[in-house]
Amino acid sequence: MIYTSESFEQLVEHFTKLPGIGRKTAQRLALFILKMNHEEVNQFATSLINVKEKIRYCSSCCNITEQNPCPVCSSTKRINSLICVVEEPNDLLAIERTNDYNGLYHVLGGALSPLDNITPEQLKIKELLRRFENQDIEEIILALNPTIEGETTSLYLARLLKPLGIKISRIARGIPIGASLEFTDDATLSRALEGRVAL
Amino acid sequence: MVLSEIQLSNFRNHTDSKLTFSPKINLISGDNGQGKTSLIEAISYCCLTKSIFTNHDYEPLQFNKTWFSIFSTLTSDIGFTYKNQIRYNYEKKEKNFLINNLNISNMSSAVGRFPVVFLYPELSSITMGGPAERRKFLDILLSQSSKSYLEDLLDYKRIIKQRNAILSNPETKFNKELIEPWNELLIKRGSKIIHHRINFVNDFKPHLTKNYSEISGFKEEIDMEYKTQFELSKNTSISEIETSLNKELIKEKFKEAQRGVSLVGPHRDDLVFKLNGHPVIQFASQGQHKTILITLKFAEYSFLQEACHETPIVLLDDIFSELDNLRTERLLVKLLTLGQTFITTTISTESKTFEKFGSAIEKFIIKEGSSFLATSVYKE
Ligand SMILES: [Zn+2]
Repeated sequence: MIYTSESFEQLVEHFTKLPGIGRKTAQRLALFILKMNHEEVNQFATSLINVKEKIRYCSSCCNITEQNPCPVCSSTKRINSLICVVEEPNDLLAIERTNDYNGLYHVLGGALSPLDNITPEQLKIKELLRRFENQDIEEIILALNPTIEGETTSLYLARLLKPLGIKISRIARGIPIGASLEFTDDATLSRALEGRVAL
Repeated sequence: MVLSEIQLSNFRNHTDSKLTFSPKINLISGDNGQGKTSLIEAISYCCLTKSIFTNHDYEPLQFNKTWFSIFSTLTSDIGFTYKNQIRYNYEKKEKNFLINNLNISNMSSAVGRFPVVFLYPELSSITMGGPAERRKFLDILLSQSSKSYLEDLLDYKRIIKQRNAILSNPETKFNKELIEPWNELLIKRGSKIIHHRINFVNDFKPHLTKNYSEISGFKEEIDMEYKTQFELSKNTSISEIETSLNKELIKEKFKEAQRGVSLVGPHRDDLVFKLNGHPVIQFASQGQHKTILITLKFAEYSFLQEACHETPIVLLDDIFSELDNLRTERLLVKLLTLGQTFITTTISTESKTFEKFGSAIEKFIIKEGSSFLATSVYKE
């Protein structure tokens, strides 16, 4: 039994706010921090502040970045006319890991979900449309998660982009139902990218 | 499928119960509130990953306890052994389903591998109650017999929830761009569900007819019909249903926005049972209702056995209470022709009705959550 202190309780409280962390785990994590040496704790705290202060959203693709535009958008080796639309930065990383994709990205920041009050305004859709003004885009690949919300968002975007007369495709459903892109193995994801279907 | 062993911890009134079962009929006798029904519920957890009585996993949890678990040993028709385990933790709001120590992250993928047919008194609403009860009957049966049906159904339920969120919000209910993608998905999944249900009704009818004449001994003709919001042609195709759903959605657009809920789709459909061409819900007697319900369950058994390539486990909770001795006996004789059956009853194991069956029926007495094998009393 720990005779707890206020600052300890505060730390526990912060940990419980993280996804998937219950009270018991939070206490274990707080205890672990307590046992870390001073320098380690300092580095940890600084990195927490840094993510908030240094990281920006790329003004073009809306991915998180420390330089603007982000390394992908500013690369000269990428195909500028091809954009792959994903929900979250993690999905972008998953596709990058396949080494099979050489276009640009657009990170929406989620998928449409009326139940959670996520409307098109909450997503970076306006930002996507704006890219058509400055860039010569020929093809859009919709690589949203194979959930109902991801599927609806794909349909929404397809309807929105159709008048622009570009090629729109969606990655094939090679991905296990209910799984998210982030946790899909690279081979499956590669295949899904190859087998993308036109919308 | 045969359930040979089950172990319950902190589950309803079973703090720590362990039981070994017969592969034929298991009769579980006890007064009300002693834990008979919870045994049926526990078996449903092992086979379907969830309770058949509640959608809330915290309900079966014992007072003042933070977790419950159920271990079970099941053997398939071809002799594979499965150790199925359910663990529920209230504090973590965590539920795990393990097969042979392997955590099954997508629990719906296990549904249908361990088929069950169940009957409890409240299910009389299938023939006597509202359409929701009949849709539930269809959904549970089809989810066990078809993986794609279950996937479509889960998707569909989510679509309706999301769509209702748009329709009930005054700011979004008339927003065409927002609702149209959801309409498209509703039509896609909804038409697959309707098509699947129609095909099911056709496939199920022979099972129903055969069992009805055997159980009732009457020559009445039993029939069932799937009723949807629009006219269906014979051998209707998915694309035909899609077109009809689309038309209905356009027709009901304003009503839906007005009421703030989805009014079109398979979640509003019904199943009609008929005897000699007359709808059962209006014309059947109490006795006929009971006979039809029992018939449905036997038909479900043979249908699932065919569809899953596995013999279902039969769970019957308190179904003798309204039957006379003769009917109880006849039912037991027919149950002996099935696979493994679990029957709960308030009737004493010493009753003459059961005596005749000798060791063909394994008997258990349940008292305050602990159970005693009663067979020794009867075995000679
Ligand atoms: Zn960028």
